[in-house]
Amino acid sequence: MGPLLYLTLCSLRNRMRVRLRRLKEPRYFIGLIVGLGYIWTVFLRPRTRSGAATGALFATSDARLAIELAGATLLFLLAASAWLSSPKRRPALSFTRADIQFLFPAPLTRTELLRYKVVRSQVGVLVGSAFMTLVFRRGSLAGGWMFFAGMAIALTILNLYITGVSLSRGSVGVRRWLPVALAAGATIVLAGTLALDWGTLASMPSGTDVMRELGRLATTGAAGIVFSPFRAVTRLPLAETPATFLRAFPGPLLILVLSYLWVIRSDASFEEGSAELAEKIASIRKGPQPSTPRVRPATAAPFRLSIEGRPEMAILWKNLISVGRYVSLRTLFRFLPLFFVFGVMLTRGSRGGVGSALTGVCALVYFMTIFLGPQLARNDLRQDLRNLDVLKTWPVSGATIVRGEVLAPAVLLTVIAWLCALDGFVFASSLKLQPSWVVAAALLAPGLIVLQLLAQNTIAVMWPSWILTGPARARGIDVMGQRLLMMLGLLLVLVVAVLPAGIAAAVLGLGLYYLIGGIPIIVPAIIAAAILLAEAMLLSRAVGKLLDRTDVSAIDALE
Amino acid sequence: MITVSHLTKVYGELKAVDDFSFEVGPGEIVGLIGPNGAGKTSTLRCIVGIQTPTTGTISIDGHDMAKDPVAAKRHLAFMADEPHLFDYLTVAEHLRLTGRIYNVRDFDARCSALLNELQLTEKENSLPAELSRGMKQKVAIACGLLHEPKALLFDEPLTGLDPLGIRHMKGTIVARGRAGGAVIVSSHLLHLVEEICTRVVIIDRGRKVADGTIAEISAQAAAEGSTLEQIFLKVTGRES
Repeated sequence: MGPLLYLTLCSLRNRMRVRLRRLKEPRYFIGLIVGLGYIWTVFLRPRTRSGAATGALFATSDARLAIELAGATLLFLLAASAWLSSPKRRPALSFTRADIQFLFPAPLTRTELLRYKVVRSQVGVLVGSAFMTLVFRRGSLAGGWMFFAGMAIALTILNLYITGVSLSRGSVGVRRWLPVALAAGATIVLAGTLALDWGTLASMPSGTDVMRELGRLATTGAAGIVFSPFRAVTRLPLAETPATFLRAFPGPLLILVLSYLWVIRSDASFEEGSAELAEKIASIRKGPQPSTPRVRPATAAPFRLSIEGRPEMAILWKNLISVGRYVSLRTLFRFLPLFFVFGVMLTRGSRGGVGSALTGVCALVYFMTIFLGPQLARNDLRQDLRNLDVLKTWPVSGATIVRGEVLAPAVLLTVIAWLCALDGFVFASSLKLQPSWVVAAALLAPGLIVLQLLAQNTIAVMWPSWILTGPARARGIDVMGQRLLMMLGLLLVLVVAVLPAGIAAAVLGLGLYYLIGGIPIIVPAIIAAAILLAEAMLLSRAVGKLLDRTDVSAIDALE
Repeated sequence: MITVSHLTKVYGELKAVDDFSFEVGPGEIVGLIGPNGAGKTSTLRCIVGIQTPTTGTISIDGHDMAKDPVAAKRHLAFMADEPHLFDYLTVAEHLRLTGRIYNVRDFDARCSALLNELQLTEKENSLPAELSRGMKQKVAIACGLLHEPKALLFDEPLTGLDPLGIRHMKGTIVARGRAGGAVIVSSHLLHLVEEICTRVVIIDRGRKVADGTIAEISAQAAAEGSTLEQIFLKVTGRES
């Protein structure tokens, strides 16, 4: 066995061993059971009427044509953009830092290194194909195998092609403009064909007719020639019977062999670019780093931190600064059109005009802020887990750290929720909305947000590996099960935390109803908000005690 | 000032530190040395409260780290081998944050003095990503010295520093010892320990194997006139 095959097989075997060994820990074992249960329920359970939908995806010839055209178009776009984007980039293949340290100085030829890279990437291709087979499972076992084999071949071709493009950029003695010109030419041919036929396409009475016309365009004339290799590759996983699969097989096989030979015979010097890429990937795995370091004066801080006062404010100040330095207004504005479209959809049919639409957007953002915001805004202990050894040396209690850490996302999310509520308040009269309900919603927001943030931070302290994110995080069915459990747990915590506040508010509301014949909603809302915040304070103390007892070595070991 | 009493730290089945006791008084610079995996970093991390001892007690200026960690940590500074800075805080903001956490009274004067001493004035508005490793180390040191701690712990303080940085670092450590601080320096660089430390503690497989001045431990090891390297190899049983 060659050393590179030995390396690939040993790495694969040991990775499996590590995955199996970690099942000794109950959290991974339970996660595996939950994950397998989820996969069975969603993908593998014998199909009922509702489950027949996925099978129906491939049922008609029109549907198959649509999928084949969509797949071929996607492949074409990937293939063309590989040549047309960043043509000046240096060839870079994704090797690990260990690969570079051990293999690049070793007496191995470039061809051997390339073969190793191709073989190693097959693991990902096979896992990806298996997953897609699971998701788009065909009715029969043979259908499943054909889909898997077809997908594996298509993904291998794509992988080889992208590698080949990267290498070709560094090749000597090749007319580099030629493939770029071919990609541009092919794009022009397809765009031109569509443009010339636009009148016919626009006059088609139904979507099925449009699809058939597109199918005709993709199989005839110059566009047919450009599209043929992409359709050949896409047709393979969509084959209906073993006979059609075998008939469709030679074309993709030829493309596969040619792509492999193209990659293996490359004379490109990829070592330097690959080393740079490995460093980049390693730094991403180490944790989030500022991609474009910018210097901002001290005035860029949200407020001036005085030297005396509660430490919680110092942590709030620190975390607000970090938000301002990695989230720009541009990032937020990117989401606005999405929110606007949803808002208009929510309120279509109502006659409130712009006010109604805006309120729809705000209602959506309000609920997303309350219930999704605490999961997304992670500038608290979840982000600071990497700095826990610094935080632990500070002369402050764990509860202080926890309170300080959750303050920044709590403040940000509360401000967003209150801005949404303000909009509701302004347009309340035109929308026949009781202003008191809007005020009640605003009052409840901080407590609900803080409680969820504390629940997330509790998980960060108790089970940091469940929170760690980025490419370095653990993967697998057991980890997927853990995530599902975590979501259920958080939902349960929210229900349990809201229950006392809800009961108290309901009792008070009923009492008021019997006394004065109506419920001024603000009064029960104030009581509920106060209970939620009191619960948050108690929870912060409990999590603080946990943090005091947390041994950083446990987190280091996980990282 | 720093009292470590019967410290034991266990990771799973591995006993990293085993019934380890020693003291560091004011003005003392103690070199903590030992082979790889001897338990040096675990000891330091337990002393500063990053890790929790399995058994044993640690006190800083009379404050028990387990019972009153906040008071104990108020007198401590820990300079880790790898400086961990907050990605999105500038140098000046790191110092301001530290000043607030430790309630440093004459912050402005101390801050500018430290920035001058460590030649960071021109970098005060820089983010960590814009600093070299040596500069980051200096920022960590500035934050550590800001509250004038009575106990200072350095883990491999010379890692990644250039010759000028090494000279400054050695000067900083010695100056803090002379100013009455209790200093622990953990390092594999025996010549550094020999040069700046007033006392040496050798740890091997989690247990203390020697404690005293170089003259004292060479006498204990029956290796008078030997260098610290020779003594180290002898007491850790790696002479051959």
